[in-house]
Amino acid sequence: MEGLEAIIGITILLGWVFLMVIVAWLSTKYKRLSVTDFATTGGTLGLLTLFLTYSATYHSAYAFMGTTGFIHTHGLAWWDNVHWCVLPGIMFWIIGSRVWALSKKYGFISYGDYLKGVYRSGGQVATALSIVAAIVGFIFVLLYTAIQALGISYLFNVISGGIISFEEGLLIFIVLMVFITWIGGLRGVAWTDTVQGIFMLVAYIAGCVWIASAAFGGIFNVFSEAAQKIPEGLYLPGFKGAFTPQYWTSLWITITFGMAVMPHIWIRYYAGKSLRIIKWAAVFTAAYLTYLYIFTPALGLTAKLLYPDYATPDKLVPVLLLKYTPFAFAAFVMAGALAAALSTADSQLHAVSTILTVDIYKTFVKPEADERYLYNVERWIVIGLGVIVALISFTRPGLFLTILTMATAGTAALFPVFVAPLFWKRVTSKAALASVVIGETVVALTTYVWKNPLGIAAGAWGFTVAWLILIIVSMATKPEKSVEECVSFLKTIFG
Amino acid sequence: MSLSLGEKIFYIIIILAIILSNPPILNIVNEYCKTHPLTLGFPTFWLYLEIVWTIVIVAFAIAAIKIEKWRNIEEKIEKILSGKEVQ
Repeated sequence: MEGLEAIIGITILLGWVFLMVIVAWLSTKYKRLSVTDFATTGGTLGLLTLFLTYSATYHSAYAFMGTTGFIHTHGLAWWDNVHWCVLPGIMFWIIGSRVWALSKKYGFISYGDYLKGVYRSGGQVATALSIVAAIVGFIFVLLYTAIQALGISYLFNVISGGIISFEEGLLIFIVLMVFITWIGGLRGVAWTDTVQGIFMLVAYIAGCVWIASAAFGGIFNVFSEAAQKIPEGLYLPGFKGAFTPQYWTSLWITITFGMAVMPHIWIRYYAGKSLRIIKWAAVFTAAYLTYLYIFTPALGLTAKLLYPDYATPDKLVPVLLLKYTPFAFAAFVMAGALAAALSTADSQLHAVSTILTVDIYKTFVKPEADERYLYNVERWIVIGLGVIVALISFTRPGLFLTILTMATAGTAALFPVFVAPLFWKRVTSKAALASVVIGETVVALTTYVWKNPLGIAAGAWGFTVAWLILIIVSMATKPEKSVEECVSFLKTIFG
Repeated sequence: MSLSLGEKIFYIIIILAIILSNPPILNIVNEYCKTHPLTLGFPTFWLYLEIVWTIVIVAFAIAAIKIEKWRNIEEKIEKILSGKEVQ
């Protein structure tokens, strides 16, 4: 039986890998040999692809594995998460549509070149700002990619019945991630995300319902049992008392706004074919991100009821699947978890390679490089970054994990600088640079020195201070023409 | 930024949802949840937040269909980018 299970598991894994390779390869039929096409598809993504690449990129391995661990640890305080399910869709429209319009006018294709462009009247300050933001985005996202690969790849071992080792699984994951990005750029990533977005939705919802039904005879029985045995998990502050009012609010502020300006999310604002498509992609994104979790409370509470003292609750989903569902189904759902991780990881790799190519290489090494040349450079960078991700993953250095703690909080402090010039004429490059430097310093201090002062998450401190500095220094410095132009242009369109 | 009536209603709904799903309103709901952990068989706390934010998603979909300004934006930008409209 174990041999048969291994064959089933490996067949499912191979099927998934094969499907991703084919889809990525098919996407190359439409590619052009230019860095713009590689980085943003030249703004050609349709509704289904745009909505699912945004959603699948947004929901990482955390959606599959981490949420159950979250409920196991904090109960339904986990549903603070609803803020960073619905609001990203709305911001996709409000912010994304404006960024898209500016990209059409000025030709932005990356993270730093957007800042360099909107703040261009600031000269050297604008360049410095774009470099600082690019470096912050680069470090956080690359580490995030490596840690994600590291955190999920043990599933290869589980699905294959031990035949594929953890290291081999990690290697398969990284090679696949690099291949998809290398061969297809954003289009390849988006096409595979589309397939994976559908796959993970079906697999996850089916997994939640099956486990809850098999373990307790239905989701209502899970809730009823939880109300009797672990009622403190059904309201705030949760099992450990962590979700105080200030932590509840500061956590969603940090994650919602931090994620909105992460490079792999930001780059998708450029990718839609039209504003109509962005508008509907935004609506569907809000619904997808929210309703993917419709049965998660049942799964999380099932995990808590059955394994109340499990030491690594983030790994409970495979345990439950293997115990309560047939192996083939369990392997199918776990492959869905790999899909969730891969759809985020390849998007992150792509965003980071675009940052290095457009914001660093083109700016400092070869400003006169043409589109074709940069396209080739970016493909080499993808391979190089793949090697770096592998090195980080295999060596598992503690320092990187420490830096990763800051990731979402760190990008939350970038939010004001990216979003203010879409709406406010008075914002200046000097204020933006000061906001980034001081905001990130505050995040570092409230993460490592004075941890979460007053019970407020570090990211919310960084976010608030970054806004304050941006407003105060902007009012004290001379307005800049480039920002005024951007805001005026957007006003003619959006009113 | 001049907002149409539809946009104003939409943004008010979002602000209300944020108010309803955060302290101090959420604390009141949470106290109720302690004595009534389940409603219609679902966890009351989860159900409350689910309903509040489902209203926002529905409002977003309705806004996408109904707000004329958002539809006009699509035509406007096409004209501007194709150079038919002088800024």
